[in-house]
Amino acid sequence: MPDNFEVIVQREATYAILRTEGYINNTGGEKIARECYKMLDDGIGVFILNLAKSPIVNSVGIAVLIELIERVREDGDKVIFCNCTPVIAKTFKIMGLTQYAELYENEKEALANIRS
Amino acid sequence: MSPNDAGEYTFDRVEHMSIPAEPNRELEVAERAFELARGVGLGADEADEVRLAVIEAVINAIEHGRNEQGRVQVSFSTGSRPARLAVTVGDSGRGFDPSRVAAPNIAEKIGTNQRKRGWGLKLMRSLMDEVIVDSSAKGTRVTLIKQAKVLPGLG
Repeated sequence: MPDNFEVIVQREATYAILRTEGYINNTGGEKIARECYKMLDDGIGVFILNLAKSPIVNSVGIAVLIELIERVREDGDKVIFCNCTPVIAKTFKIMGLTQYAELYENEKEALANIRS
Repeated sequence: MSPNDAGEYTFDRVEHMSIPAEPNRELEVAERAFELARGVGLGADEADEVRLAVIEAVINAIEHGRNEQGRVQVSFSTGSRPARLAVTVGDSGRGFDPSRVAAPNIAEKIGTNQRKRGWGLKLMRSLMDEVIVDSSAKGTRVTLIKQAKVLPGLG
């Protein structure tokens, strides 16, 4: 099956918003992580992942995101998720991921919390 | 799977699907499970939970248990009163002992060298009402069951 996953990056001075589109499997997770690692090397430390257009994930893709969260936290920075479907939010809670990454309803809430 | 072989549950209709054991083919099974879940009357969020659990079951089957033809066998059983769906995913791999699968713990995975994967069974069990694992050296069958919640006074 074709892999149509895309990630659009909006890069700001201290944070970035990554808007994903498509299935977050291992390939999708790796694309997200690759974008974040490049920006991490440039001094950006807060990554808002907007999953509005990614209603389907699998645990292999999430495992890649766990590696990303681990790496970002090493530098004292953070990963934030927003616009998750109820089942994705529930999945993150089941996995305990919300202890290590923040979860907000939308970008506006996420941005308010990085600026507060 | 016969209509009655998923424990105490009864089902009216069964259909089968066979997919190549190839990456991303789990989506075909998950979409059919989602359609059937909605069709029998499960809510959108419940159907979404079925879809994610089915993805986990099928990617495990693709990864660990291809049969001789390199295919994964799936059956969908649906029933009504109350609405319910069972999805059985079968493979011909070496099998495993589900009682020996340690529950993953995020605290042991972050900041350590432990592999980050290993969440499939936990997610299936958390998202579905029941998960039946039947595994032997000849293969594994995982049956995922979801039933509509009956509201008090409406059952």
